[in-house]
Amino acid sequence: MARTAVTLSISMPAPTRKLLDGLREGRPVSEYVRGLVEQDAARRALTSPAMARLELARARHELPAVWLREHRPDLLEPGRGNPSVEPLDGATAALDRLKLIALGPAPR
Amino acid sequence: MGAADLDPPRGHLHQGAVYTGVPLLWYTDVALALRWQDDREPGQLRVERATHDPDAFRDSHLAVAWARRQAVVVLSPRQELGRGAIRALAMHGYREEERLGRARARIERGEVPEFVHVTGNERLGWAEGVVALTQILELPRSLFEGGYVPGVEQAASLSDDTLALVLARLRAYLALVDRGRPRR
Repeated sequence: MARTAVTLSISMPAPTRKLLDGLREGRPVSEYVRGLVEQDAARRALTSPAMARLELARARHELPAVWLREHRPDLLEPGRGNPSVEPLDGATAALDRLKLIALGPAPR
Repeated sequence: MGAADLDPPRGHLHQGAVYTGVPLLWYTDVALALRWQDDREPGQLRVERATHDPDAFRDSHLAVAWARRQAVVVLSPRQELGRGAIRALAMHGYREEERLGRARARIERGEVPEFVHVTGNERLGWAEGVVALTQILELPRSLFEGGYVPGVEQAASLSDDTLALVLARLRAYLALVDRGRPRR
């Protein structure tokens, strides 16, 4: 924890304390509560634009540094290249009556 | 970073199901619309360049597109599977995509954010490849139910852990927010 961390003390009735002890599954109370705060912030991020920005900034901070490189070439680009379709310009396709009924433009 | 493992197919449409032979559509290099020739040649469709036509594709227009069979993994959760459109991610093999193959070591180490390495499975006849987090697709459900085109088959299923990995990696990839400077 950074030296600027603030210590909080929380009082709660015995049944709530028992519930807390069950839920934290052996984790220190401080770690569990910090996790809860982060979860709640993430949940609120789904509705609040400002919180969403904070959540994304937090998530981005946790990404591997190598992901943040400026230049990342598209590794699939060559496979996605296709021959030009320009020669098709002006081509026609005849349809039989059945297809004409099924595909014809809606009446205006 | 971990890699994705495959289980045998479960035989029904579900999140994490892997299908092969799914025809995916690509835009052509120039926009081509298919238009009815009602006045000149009734019953005929004509391919017309739409590059400078502001009215193109405003109604229900047919268009020319490329199609190629590809493997995909279903991304839609159970709640979406009853809809007409299913979300999926494209999958690619290292053998078919040369540049992908050259980057394989980096992908396996988790250094390429847009790809999740998928281990091969000899028993399922599956070669090593990737799930492409960049290619989020919307596909008609009928494709997966055999009613659209023959040859679409469920080949495998992501294990629960693997599905969790793909979803976590997708979430992390989408957190790569950087509007940066305009491209030149």
